[in-house]
Amino acid sequence: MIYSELKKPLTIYLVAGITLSIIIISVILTAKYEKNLLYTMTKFELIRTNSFKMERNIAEMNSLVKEINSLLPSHYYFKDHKEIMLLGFDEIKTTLKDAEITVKNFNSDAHEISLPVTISIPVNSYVQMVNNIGYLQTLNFPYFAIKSIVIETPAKGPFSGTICKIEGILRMPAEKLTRNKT
Amino acid sequence: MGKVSVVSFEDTTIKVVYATLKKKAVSIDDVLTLKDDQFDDFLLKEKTKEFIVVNSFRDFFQDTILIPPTKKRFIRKLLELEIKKRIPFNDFSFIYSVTGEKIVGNRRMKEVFFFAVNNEELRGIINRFILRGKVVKAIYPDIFSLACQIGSEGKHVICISETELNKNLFLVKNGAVEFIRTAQALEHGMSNLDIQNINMTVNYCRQTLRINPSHVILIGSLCRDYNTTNDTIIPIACLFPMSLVENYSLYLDFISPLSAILIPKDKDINLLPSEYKNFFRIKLFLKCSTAIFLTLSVIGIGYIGYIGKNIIELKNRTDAIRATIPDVDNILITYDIKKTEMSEYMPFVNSLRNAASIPDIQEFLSLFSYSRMDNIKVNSIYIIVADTILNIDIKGSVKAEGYANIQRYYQKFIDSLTNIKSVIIKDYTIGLENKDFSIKITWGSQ
Repeated sequence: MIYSELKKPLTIYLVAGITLSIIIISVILTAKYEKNLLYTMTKFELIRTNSFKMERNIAEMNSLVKEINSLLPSHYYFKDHKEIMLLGFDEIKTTLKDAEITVKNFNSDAHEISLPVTISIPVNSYVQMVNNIGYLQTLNFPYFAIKSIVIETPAKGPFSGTICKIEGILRMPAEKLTRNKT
Repeated sequence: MGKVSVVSFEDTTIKVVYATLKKKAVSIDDVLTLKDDQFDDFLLKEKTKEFIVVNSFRDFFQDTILIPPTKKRFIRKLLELEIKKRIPFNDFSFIYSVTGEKIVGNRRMKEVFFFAVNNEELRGIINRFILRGKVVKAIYPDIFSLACQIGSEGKHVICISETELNKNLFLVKNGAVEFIRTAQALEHGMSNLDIQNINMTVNYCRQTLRINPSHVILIGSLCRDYNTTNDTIIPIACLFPMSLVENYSLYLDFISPLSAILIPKDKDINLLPSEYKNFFRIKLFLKCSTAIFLTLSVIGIGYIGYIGKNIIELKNRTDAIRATIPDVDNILITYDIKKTEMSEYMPFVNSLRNAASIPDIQEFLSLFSYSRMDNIKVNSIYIIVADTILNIDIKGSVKAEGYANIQRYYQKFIDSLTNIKSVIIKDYTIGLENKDFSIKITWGSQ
């Protein structure tokens, strides 16, 4: 019948339809692939940036650890915390020979051990006094946290009668470092 | 525009016209006149696939009926039911034209002229083509295709055409047929008998149909073969379409097939049975859909190409980035180890930070020693360490005579303190009686 004439256009129609379907699916898949590839690239860039950041952080941590280790006294790993504190105190006493040094009891909590110290130094020379204060400020493990300084000269007396009274706390972290760190 | 092949069945003669449509004009490429028994052989040999057919139907049914006012899309259905009641066959195709309106019993009715043909006859024609692998695009009754060429400007005209010895008389208004009459003649061309028939038809129109035709139009070869001594009772003229002027003689002989080429698109005079119309609808749908599919496919391929280019670029960039990524696993392990180690060191780091955050008292005292202390005796310096600054209280006295001198040296001392970097004077007082002063300052990073 006449409908047999539709065989050719119908075949072309079906082929075109199937082709279009394949192309639509391909478009969807390639678009998705492109999107995922873009996502992957972004992630790779992030990984690279983070890797470099982590490498930099590792280097920083290494140098920090080295720096801290260099600041630790040589006897740090062999002695008890309180002993180290008192060794530091003894060192102050030895360095500031003319000073009158009084000390209170240890205070300690989970993070820190502290020892309140009061130092009275007769001031013979302003420069020496400044150097002594500088010395106290450079102490590490234990470090000396100055709370107040009073420099007083008697109203009618000579400068040699000047007294420098320093109140501070010797402080150290309560945790003990384990040895053989990088 | 396009090639068109038209076959016109005119009794025992079959006329074939090959033409090319050029905008609104028609260029005739070739014409053939065949006898009926030659036609099947012609179809077998002919390469053209699709044909428009014009047929001079002998057995048809025509009438004018009244239908109630209804929407245009329901008219065909309504008419089909009406026609079924009036004609002796059930399977038929028909064309119609709304010719006017009438008031019947206070109701406005539509006057519709219809022309129906038995589908058996139509299939007989179509099958001749199908059996020889050809397709019939449309079948037009010759009278209707000719009527489409009549521009009567709102007036009724009587047209007369010739098929072999038969004369077709039909009443036309604005290209729509309203009445058909077929008359037997004794000879070709116009004769006195035909004039008599025309006059009778005019009278019939006037008396029965109450229509007054304005003139008579002769169609085709009748314009050439006019051998009559009598006159018509209304004026007479010849049909001569302006779009076909190539060959007047050819035009007169082949007017039926040529008129089929020029049928306006809005004229629905195709008698092709519904199954064949459906066939062409499906074919058109398939053609259009295929064209759309192919267009979309081309766009899709282009888009895939575009994405593909992007993908290649992205892949290259990704590979380049991947190549520069260091050994992540190793870094992660090292980082984790270092982080754990650092957590152990953190109290020490914080301790160092705390120590570093205290302002440098040694530095302040050094800077203070450079301040101008002419005639100034500092009795005491109180330094209290706050978070990041030093709160300093300086007490002393001015060793000078006269209030002006006292003020001068005191001011010089204050100015020199002000000049020390990061010093802010908070308060300063001096007792002029006892010459003692007190200055409150802060120092440190603000």
